[in-house]
Amino acid sequence: MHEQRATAAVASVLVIDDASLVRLYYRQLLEEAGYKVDEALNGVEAFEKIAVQDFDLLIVDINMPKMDGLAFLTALRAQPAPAGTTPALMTSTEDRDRDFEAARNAGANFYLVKPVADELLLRHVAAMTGVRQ
Amino acid sequence: MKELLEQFLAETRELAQRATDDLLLLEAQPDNGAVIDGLFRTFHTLKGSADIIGLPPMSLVMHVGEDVVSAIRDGALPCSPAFVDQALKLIDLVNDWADALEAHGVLPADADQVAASTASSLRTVFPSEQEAKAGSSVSVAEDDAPDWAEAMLEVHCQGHDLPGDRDLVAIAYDPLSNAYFSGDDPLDFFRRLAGLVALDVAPQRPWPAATELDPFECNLSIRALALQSKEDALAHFRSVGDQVRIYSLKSPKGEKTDLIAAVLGEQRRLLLVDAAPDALLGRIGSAARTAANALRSAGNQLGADAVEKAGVQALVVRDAGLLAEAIETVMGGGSAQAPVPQALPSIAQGDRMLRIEAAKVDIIADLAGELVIARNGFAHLVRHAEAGVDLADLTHALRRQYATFDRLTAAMHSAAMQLRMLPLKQVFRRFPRLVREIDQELGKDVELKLVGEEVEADKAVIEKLYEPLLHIVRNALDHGCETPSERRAAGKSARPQLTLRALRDGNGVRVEIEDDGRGVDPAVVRRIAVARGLLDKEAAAQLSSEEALQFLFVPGFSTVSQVSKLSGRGVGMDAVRAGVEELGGRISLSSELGLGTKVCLHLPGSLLMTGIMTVVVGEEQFGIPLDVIVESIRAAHARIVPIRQGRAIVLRDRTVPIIRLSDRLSLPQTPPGRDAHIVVVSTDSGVLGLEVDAFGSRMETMMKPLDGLLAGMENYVGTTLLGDGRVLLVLDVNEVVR
Amino acid sequence: MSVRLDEGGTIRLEGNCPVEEAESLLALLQAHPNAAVDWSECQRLHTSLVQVLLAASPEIQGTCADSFISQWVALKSVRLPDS
Repeated sequence: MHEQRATAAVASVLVIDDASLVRLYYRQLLEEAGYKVDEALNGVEAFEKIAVQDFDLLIVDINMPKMDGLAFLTALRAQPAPAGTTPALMTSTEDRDRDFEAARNAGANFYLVKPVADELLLRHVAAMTGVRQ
Repeated sequence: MKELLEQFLAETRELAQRATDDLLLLEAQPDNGAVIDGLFRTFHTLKGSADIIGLPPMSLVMHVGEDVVSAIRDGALPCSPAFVDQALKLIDLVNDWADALEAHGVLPADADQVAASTASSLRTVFPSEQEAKAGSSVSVAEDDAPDWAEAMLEVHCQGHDLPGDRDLVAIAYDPLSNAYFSGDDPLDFFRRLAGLVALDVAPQRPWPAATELDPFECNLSIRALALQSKEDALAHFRSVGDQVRIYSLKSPKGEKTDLIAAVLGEQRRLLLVDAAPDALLGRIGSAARTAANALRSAGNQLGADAVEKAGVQALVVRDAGLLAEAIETVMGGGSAQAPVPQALPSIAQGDRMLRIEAAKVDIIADLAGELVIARNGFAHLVRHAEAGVDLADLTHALRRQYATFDRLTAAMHSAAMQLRMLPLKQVFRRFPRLVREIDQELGKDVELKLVGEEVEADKAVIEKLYEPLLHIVRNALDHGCETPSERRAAGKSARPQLTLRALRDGNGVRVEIEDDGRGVDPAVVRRIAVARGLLDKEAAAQLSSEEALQFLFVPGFSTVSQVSKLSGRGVGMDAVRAGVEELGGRISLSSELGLGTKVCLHLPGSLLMTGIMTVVVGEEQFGIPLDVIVESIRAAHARIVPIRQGRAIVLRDRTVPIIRLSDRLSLPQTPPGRDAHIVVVSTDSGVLGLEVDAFGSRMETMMKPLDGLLAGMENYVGTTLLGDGRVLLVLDVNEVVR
Repeated sequence: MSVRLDEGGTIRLEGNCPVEEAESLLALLQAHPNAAVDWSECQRLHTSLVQVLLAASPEIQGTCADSFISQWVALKSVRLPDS
């Protein structure tokens, strides 16, 4: 009577982006690829989620209202493990100057320019969560 | 894709409305920075949405729109009436396109042309120089890669694994001599270029004598190789497209190592950045996890182990360089030679571990032993059956064996549930900091007490408890607790007390959030309930104080939701109640005016998840517990035959009576579909088929017993909440077929 | 101050060195042709200053703190115009 649960090997991803469409898009793409996906619409909400659950990867948008991605990540890296050591993939549009460096300074583990092609995103997520390719 | 499109349309219309409002406001207040910021964000989101859905014309116009708003935001352009006009036209266009998408699923045929002309009229607000820049396009070099590219490849990439499956491009960028004047930082394009492999910088023309040098005349020629698709590279250099040539190169060799190498390389660079001391461990830890994952993902377990161990060492001595070196070593091919402190344990494994009492594990080990014995019993039975033993004997033995299995699986289940028990401390420990942070803004100097942290509850309860608890605590801080001066005036101690308490409560757990603040005034609650139209005046007057307080949990009571700084969303107590009920719990509130408020959460100690399948009858949906379902089948109506007063179907030589669910639930009968949908269930009255209109989905859910208005209803065992918030009634199949 | 001459006669690039500083850097290099340039505190170097350093080719001290520059544009890797 107890439904089989998802296999333990599934990696969990938290998508942090203020644009609901972007979140939905990532969710569909990643869930189809077998990831467990949760969403947060800004850094503050992300903290609330991370407080109660460990994730294998955070996909963080730079440009968000309230707490932006850089402030969020900077604060996150000061947290104890496992929250503070969660790998983070930062995304932003190319137009904003110095984002790449700023992301690294904030503690991002990789950076992709939006819009990210499906295939590219999936391969980076796989690499960063240790899923065999 | 449909869901995505619907969301896109809804969001686009909302954003278009927001942009319109902002533009109209800007017309009156052209210098309102906050509105310009908001407009930029809206344009930015619209552009991003168009990218995702794949609407190049909309991307194009929003991109130009964003450039213009960005220039206004940076003070490079005035917010002129001409701009507002153009921008409003742009928004009209976006709305038209949204309508067309909704009606026909595609943009109008002329969208490309309209986009181009809209973009160019938008650009007219730019002064001429910027216009030229924004309008230029990157030259697509069709010819073969030049010699310099091959030479660079040879020099820079010797011995490195370069990509097989990823594009490699060569980029030649000869900036115009006035590039610095027009605001370009040519090398910066390469700084931001993903996948840079090699970079060369040289003068375009020989250097003049030092005394003749003009520092503001650009005289550089930049050549680079990058792991990029040509399209991406073109897009990257779009704004200086007239000065850039991009060539596709054949990548020399290698497999999927480029992306892995890029990820590893980035961890190295991340580690070499000087970081704030408090972020150091987070950075080392995240780089170690990422690098180990990347190696594991590429099948290099040895390398992953080495990196993980170096990560631990780096954490211990707080030296990011150690890990950077280890990553470099692994990248260089020496996967096993990374500095490895043998004695240190691996953290990456530890992160995912659950601490479990040894006694709990012993119980499971014992049960596993019993299960093995029970399995051997089956082997014995199989041999008997093969030998042709008497059927009655076999049935008897099977039944006994089934009983044993039943007992063992139940025991195993309960032992496994025990493993999931965690102390409330896991949630409570988040609160001291949170309360402090919230209090810093409120200035109430609240004193937080945590009681009963050791009380245990199911992991799922613990994980989901945080949010409702947070909202209750925030409410207490916001509304319950008074300021020190108010408290002194009321003759209370200056510091408000807030207590989080956990207690065992039968099989469950009770969590109390108690403050000694101003309390809730039942008279005010009555007044608001009447004002909100939740009940009339007379009914309100007849409510006891206690009954009145329960209106705090009624949806619609708090129409002005408190938009909190923390979550950025308003959450009323009705949402809190829903959250608690989703856990199978209850919430209650008591309050003494002037003395304080206490909210009690009554939670189940463990979550009993029930598997159910949903079925559709007419307009309604019901749940059927999975443990009574034998199978669900679709069958042609012709296979259903009348038998005596009823109907039946023959399944595997067995006649199964069929009952229409709509008849039993007194629902109108719907016209039959092409096939009959039958859920075969095992009941006290034997195996039966329930005919429904359609099958829904299977899910595992928390079932709540019937209470309140539903308490007396026959035919149902309980209710559960669906993902969309609707309540699903779960059938009591034995009752239904009786 | 992102470009200055210190007491020891070394030209120091510090913090963010935007395009406007190219002129100051060139002026200092012209006034002190033998001065070394220390860029170890330079967090961000604009292309125009890279160009001045390439053209004047002073002695360089330290590793540029602008990691992009230190990784990709370290002056040793720079081609000479006639090579």
